Amino acid sequence: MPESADPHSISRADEESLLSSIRSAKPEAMAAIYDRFSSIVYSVALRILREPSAAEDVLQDVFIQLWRNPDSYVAQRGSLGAWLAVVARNRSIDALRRRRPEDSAEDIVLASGIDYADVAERECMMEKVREAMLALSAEQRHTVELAFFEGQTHTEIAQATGDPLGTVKTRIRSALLSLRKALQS
Amino acid sequence: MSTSQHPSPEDLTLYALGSLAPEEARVIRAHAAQCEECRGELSRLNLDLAYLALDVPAASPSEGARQRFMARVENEASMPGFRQGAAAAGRKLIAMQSSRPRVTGAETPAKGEPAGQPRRGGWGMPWAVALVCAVIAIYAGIDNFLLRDRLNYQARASQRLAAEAHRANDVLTVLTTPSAQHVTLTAGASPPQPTGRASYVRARGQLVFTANNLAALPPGKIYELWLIPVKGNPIPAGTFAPDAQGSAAVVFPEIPAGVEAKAFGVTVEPEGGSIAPTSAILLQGS
Repeated sequence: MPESADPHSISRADEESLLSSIRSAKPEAMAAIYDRFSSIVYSVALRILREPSAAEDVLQDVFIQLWRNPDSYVAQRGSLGAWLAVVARNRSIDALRRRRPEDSAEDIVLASGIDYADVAERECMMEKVREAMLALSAEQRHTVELAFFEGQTHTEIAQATGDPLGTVKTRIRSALLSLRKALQS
Repeated sequence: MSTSQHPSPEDLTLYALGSLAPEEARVIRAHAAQCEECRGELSRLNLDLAYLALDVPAASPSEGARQRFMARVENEASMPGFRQGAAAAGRKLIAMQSSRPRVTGAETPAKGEPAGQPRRGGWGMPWAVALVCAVIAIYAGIDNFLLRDRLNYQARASQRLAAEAHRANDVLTVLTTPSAQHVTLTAGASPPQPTGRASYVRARGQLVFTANNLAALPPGKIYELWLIPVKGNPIPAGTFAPDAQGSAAVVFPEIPAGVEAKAFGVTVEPEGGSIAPTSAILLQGS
């Protein structure tokens, strides 16, 4: 998600301050958070759902949940943007598969890592992710994309690719570990 | 796997992706609630997923989406009792429950009243009851508001879907109705040649095909459309007969989803269609 100019850039300290204002039901704080992270949430939802109206539904859902329950985000673990990206991914997959959410946003806890609020850091990481994805074998990349962007279960992937279930499981795990290793280097 | 055993790293990964069956996910959720090690690995896996989420094309929601969202936020924020009110009401309710008068030696129950029950009558109890009712009413009001808002949102989404479906239906009607006028524009004065246009969405296995200037067929024959995949044999994609003007359409024939198409073709086949082409291709496009 290249982003050359970022008029809404906010620091982690600002994030915490804005969340505190959201807890006090201040709409302007929610607007600032929305302006900063809506493109991240929408991009993820649109990539998965491929329909602007469906992606907007997820966008509205993710942010209204944060507005109503700001404590669902645990600030000590991971950045708000990264957390929103994962929540958006999971909600989009729920919508794609027409199923009720299986987890609540509170269950999604991230280790400290990327600061999505830092545009330079995010763009640097984006490059690294793309390189790391290209470094995966074609089978690994395809399997991860089916699981992450299509929300296919390992059973469905095994049926579609003709690979044994164990191979699919191992492939997904090893692909994510390769990605993790590449980003930590 | 029981809840006391560590799940395999592979299953933990699938859990983070939401790729497990609900029952398997429930076991891992219960285990993780008790296991710091697995919670740690899940948080690292969720971070991996956040990185993966960076690998998407950039897109921005419309300004209308922002307006709709902020309208909902401001609407809720303006509700009396939203957030602070609900929290205060919650605290008040808890405080009232915990400060219920205790029966002490100095407040021995009146004769005939069961021991351990607060005394009836006096001014305190009716006010307390009224206050509890007021708090419950506030809760109900907030709940009602949130439900109504959710319903309104769903109704708007439903209206939007209905409008989209209506428009899609209109497009199909124009393409397929016999009364529609289909005009093919050509550069020269030569007699119009048969043409066809296939629109194919591979992921959904959805195909719409329209054709013009088709020659009338002899009895017992019919045109058949073929999806020619990158690998494998042509796949039948519906039969059709032209109308008096030589126009025809095939809409959403039964074909498998996900097949990569190299080309589409049309042949003349015996009435009822064939499972493989039996004559030369009349129209072809890739």
